[in-house]
Amino acid sequence: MTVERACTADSRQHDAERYASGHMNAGDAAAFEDHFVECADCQAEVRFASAVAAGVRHNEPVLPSARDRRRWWIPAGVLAAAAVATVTAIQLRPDPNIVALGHVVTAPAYLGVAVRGAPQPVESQFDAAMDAYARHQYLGAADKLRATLAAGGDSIPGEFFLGVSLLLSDRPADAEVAFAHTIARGKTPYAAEAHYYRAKALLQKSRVAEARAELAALTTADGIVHEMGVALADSVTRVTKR
Amino acid sequence: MDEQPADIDGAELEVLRGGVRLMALRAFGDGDLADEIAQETLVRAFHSLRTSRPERMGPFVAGIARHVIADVIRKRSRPAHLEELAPDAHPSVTPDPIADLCLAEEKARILEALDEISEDDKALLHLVYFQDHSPVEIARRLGLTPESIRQRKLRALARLRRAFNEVPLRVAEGHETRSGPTVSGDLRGDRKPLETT
Repeated sequence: MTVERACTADSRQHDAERYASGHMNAGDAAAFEDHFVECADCQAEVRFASAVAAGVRHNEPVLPSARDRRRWWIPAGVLAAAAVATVTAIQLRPDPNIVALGHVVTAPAYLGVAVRGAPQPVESQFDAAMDAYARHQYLGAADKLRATLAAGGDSIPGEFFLGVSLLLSDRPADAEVAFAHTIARGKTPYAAEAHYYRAKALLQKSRVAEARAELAALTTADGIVHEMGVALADSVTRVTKR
Repeated sequence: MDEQPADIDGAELEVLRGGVRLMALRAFGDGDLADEIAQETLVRAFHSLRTSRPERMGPFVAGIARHVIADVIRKRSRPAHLEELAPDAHPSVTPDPIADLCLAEEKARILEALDEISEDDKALLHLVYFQDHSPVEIARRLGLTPESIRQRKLRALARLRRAFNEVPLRVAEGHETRSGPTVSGDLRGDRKPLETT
């Protein structure tokens, strides 16, 4: 027996946000769908939430962190002692423009295991991870991909999409390690994009020289990824010259 | 032979087309495919109703839609080679399904409205929509209180909602007309079925 779902302005907004952004689990999404196919208000809310999500994604902001804000709060008692340290702090403070270049607006799509590599048996764990990835549940995807890799799954796509998932979960330090593992596997269908996204992760950590080196590793044989790398390298140069 | 059901009202199914199309758009971000999936779903529902009547039509049709969507996903996940893909089908440039869930005009109005809100509020919305953070997590990250996060989110969304609702009526009506053929005209007759499995 199905139960009529409560539908209030608050629940509509909450459900629509999670549904549109792919953060609902499959069971909740199905329950919401069962309701909204008959509910014009919820359909309108999903369209609104989708428009907001699309707009926010289109105009991705530089995300501040609590640590960024607290950096400016210095207890009066240590001001004098911090005079020298301030110079160092300013030098170490990430350039927000460089960090912004490291953000990823659109995740690389996953088109199926066989698309990119030699035929492999599709593991259900990997499928579950990529299902979460397709629904923009990147933290969940990262956890599942780690479990897949621990269970001996195909490490090339696994490491690559783990890197992307971590990057999109605001974990650039872990992401660059995952991409480094992908790159270390040599010439694979994921190598070029691993260089590109590792550069993005490094930019988020303000490791500009290493990011440039990753982008320099791309060649014209890498096609569109090379072009994206050139454009990103140009942007890095422009920002660092300011 | 077309068996005529005694108690199937095509309009009863037709009102669900928009919702089914939204489900398909979320899954694929392709308006034409969404129209096909909506049509296939309503056809399957129409035929199923000949033998049994569900307690509620919404969950019944939504369930069929999920099956149709799963069929299309299975069909699409067949092995392929990069060389077979069109240039615009490269993994890095595949369109974002979210963007297609709403009208271009609606997104444009939201983008205009986004220009008017602060960078902090944009960052907040980004955390809500793309990082799935709770107000408490966002508060910790932005160095603010959870209540101030809720208030700022409400304020930002209210501004965006005003812009979203400014979409002219004729545009909204145009969106509705993008749906496929009506039930009464197309569910029983000859039609090319959606290729699924």
